[in-house]
Amino acid sequence: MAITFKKDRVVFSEMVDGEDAERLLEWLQKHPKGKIDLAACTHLHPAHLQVLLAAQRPIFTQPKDQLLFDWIASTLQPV
Amino acid sequence: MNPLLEQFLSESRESLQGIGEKLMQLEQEPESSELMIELFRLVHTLKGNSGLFDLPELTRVLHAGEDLMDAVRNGRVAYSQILADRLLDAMDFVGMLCDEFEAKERIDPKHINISVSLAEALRQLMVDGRENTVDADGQAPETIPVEPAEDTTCRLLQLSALPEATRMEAYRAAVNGAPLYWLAYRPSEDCFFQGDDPFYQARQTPGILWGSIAARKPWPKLSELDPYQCVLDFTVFSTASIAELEEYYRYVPDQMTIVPVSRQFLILPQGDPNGGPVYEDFVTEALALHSAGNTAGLTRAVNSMLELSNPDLWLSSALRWLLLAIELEPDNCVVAEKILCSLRTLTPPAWHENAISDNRLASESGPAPLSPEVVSLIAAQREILSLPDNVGWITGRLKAATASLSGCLHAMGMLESVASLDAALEDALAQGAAAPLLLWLGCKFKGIVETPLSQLQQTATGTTSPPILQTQTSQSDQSAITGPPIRTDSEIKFGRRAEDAYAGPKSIKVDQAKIDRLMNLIGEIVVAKNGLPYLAGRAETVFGVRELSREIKAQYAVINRIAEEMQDSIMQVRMMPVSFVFQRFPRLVRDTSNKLGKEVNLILEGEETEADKNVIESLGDPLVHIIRNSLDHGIETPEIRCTLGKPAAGTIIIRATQESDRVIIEIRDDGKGIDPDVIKRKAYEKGIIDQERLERISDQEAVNLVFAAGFSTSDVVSDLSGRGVGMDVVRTAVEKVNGTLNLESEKGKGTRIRLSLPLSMAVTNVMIVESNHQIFGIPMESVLETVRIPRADIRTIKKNQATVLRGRIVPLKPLNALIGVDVPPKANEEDELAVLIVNLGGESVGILVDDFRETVAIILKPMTGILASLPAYSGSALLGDGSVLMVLDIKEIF
Repeated sequence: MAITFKKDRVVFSEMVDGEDAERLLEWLQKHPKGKIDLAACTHLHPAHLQVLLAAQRPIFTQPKDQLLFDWIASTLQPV
Repeated sequence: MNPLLEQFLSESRESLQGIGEKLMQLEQEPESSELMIELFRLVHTLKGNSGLFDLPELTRVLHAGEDLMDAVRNGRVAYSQILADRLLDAMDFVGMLCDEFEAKERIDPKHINISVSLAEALRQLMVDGRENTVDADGQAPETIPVEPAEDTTCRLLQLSALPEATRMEAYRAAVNGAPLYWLAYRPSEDCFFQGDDPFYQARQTPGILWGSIAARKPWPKLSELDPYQCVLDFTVFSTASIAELEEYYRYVPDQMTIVPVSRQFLILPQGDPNGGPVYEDFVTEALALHSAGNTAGLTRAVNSMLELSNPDLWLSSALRWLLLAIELEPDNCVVAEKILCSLRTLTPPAWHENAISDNRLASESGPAPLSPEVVSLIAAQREILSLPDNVGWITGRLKAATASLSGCLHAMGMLESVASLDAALEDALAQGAAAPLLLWLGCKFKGIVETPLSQLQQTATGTTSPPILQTQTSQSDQSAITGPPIRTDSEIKFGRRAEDAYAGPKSIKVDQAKIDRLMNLIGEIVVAKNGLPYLAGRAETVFGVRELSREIKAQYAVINRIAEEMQDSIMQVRMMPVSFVFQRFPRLVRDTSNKLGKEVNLILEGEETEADKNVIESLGDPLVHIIRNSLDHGIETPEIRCTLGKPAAGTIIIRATQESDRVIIEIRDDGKGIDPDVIKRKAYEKGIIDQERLERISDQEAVNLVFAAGFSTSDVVSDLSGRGVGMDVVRTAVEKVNGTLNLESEKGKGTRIRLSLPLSMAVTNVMIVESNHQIFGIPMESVLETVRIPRADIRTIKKNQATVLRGRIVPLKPLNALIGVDVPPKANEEDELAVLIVNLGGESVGILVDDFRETVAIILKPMTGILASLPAYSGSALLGDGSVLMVLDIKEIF
């Protein structure tokens, strides 16, 4: 699974395709303090990306993948 | 080339031909809605088919054509001459692409622009039709994704968003000849539903240096957000050539804006102003060094200034740029001077004003009044330079445009500008792009370049304006108001016109009934020619003419050869590769295994093996059942497989091979196999076998029980299997085409199913046997051997006769008894009985007959009418001497 929903955080890993974007949206609404962990993520589908952007939630762990980090650094704020 | 593609190409040609014809007919009767619907259908089908292949250029044009035809069909747009012309153009283009694709198996990305402009031209008609007015402004066509680099465009780009290091890297690359492009990618809102990942697409852009993401509008509340509506825009800065970029984004040219960037615009010092411009002394000193040509001294001065300053300062940033400029372009004095001057005000160098200091035209007083002739000339050059760069003759075009401009400058007495023009030309030639020249034009003749050419032409009446190249749409819009249309298609040349030599289609479509008829006729020839040997025999025996008999035989040999070749070639026509059936399996396996949570590798082998169309078509259903069974019952879940020490992913191999005149299809999996004990128990529970059979049945026989009707090991009926019909269907379907089926399974190791099918069903080999003065045919595939057994060796066990053949007991049945004739079989002089050993469902059975005759190849005709209800016969055939041979169905007579 590329996205894992845990109690207090949602963990993205490796390539994340667009399938669970609605679930992510629901999860973010249900967990207003839920953390976002992108550490192991190398790419995420824009559907997810725009959900994260719209949620305006700080990113708890930035991706280790430098290229992805560079792309999203300008738009997603770190904690 | 794969067969699917071949079929597509041949069908496309037909459709194109059809579309052309329909359009011609429509010209005669433009009101015919029937023709219109037919035309729409053709375009629609063609577009649908093209979607199967990687042909975005083709699909784009066809899609536009389809939309247009749809609008016409619904009466939203009226049929017109222009519509027919454009549609024909589009279809010529499609035909040209098909030809190219056939020859090279790929399509040159250079066609993108034509494709976009054709599609645009078609859509334009729809817009015009809807508004019922003609856009009089000559609205700028979106045909060219590359926009001319006007100064304003470059200024509007958010180049300052790029980190300084990236900009410096790009600058360095640009000095070394790399082009620089700013790409704005605005994916369509529904792109996720087409399976696109625009972010991934943007990330993989060739030559990417930097990229960013932005939202189109402020974010709504989370509860109102639709995650699957794309509202993100992507920006990419790349050093790849325009051709590469266009090729990469060829599916979405309408969502892209590509702007070439001049490297000077990258020089944007940033940082803390630190109290304002206070470096006048340094600037004066540095400028003095610079104008003296003392590069070494200047570098030293700059370096020491840098050391003294905080690196975060605006000053330091500018100095770093200055160093870079001096290092990379020591001869370009303007850049260094500009940077130095910018230190006086701490504002970025104004590259968009006049990059070169000797330009007086664009000073505060504004452009000097120019004569309309010059204005029109300059505007024409700009149009020329704005054409796409990716053509072979770009060098010539650049030089020609520069020569014209240079002439203008001379005529106006602006000799001092010639040098800067030449510099711009050199830049342009180095980059292979018109951007630097456009930039120069933008700087020199501000105001002129923004006026559309069509307006200029009207103001510059009476002038001899040079021949002007225009894009199709703008010209046709213009022609709508200015009178007689100039031929709109004259610019679009793709080397294909109606009068071009027409290459005849390589394949023809034939109704299957016609082939069947041909086949029947050939069958009759085969039968008729078999009459010749009889005739030869009669000539010799009855009429005693030996010479004639020999001649007839010689003639027979010739006819025989031709007939066999004819038969062979008609078989070839009906032959199809098994890939026709196989190609659906990868998808089936993928979907089913996903549903079951299993991992499966499917390996297809021997897809090119060919067999008769009927045989191939009959294979489809059985194979689907077999593979579903393998997936559902055979392959274990990854966890179980791991604990068993097998690789997590199971393997299913489907292999087709040809063995003499039969096609063998083998389906093998490495799953858990079939447990004979489970099968035996289930079969007993379901009443398929009785107690007695249960005890003596062998494992191999038990495994084959899965083919029995109503058998299922599963107690629950799922949507995949469990109804107990699957394997029975397989057996019936295979036997229907005279195939045989064999299943081997080893518990824990896997299962192997072998289907053996005849290559063709047209000709059947039968053995002729005689019994009670009648002849019967027995299909050769069931004949194992022929033996003669002495009457003494036949034992009778409880009314049933049997014999021992090579240590095995073979039950014997007289053929006469089987077909209800109460005559005992005849023995020969040595009191031996003729026994035909046949294979009956895996067992050997002997049939007692009177005598054996030859084997013949016959065309088996199934029984028709009232005879069809006689199950003992599978059909009849005509023999060479005109007699009828009844062919027995061995399975039915027992």
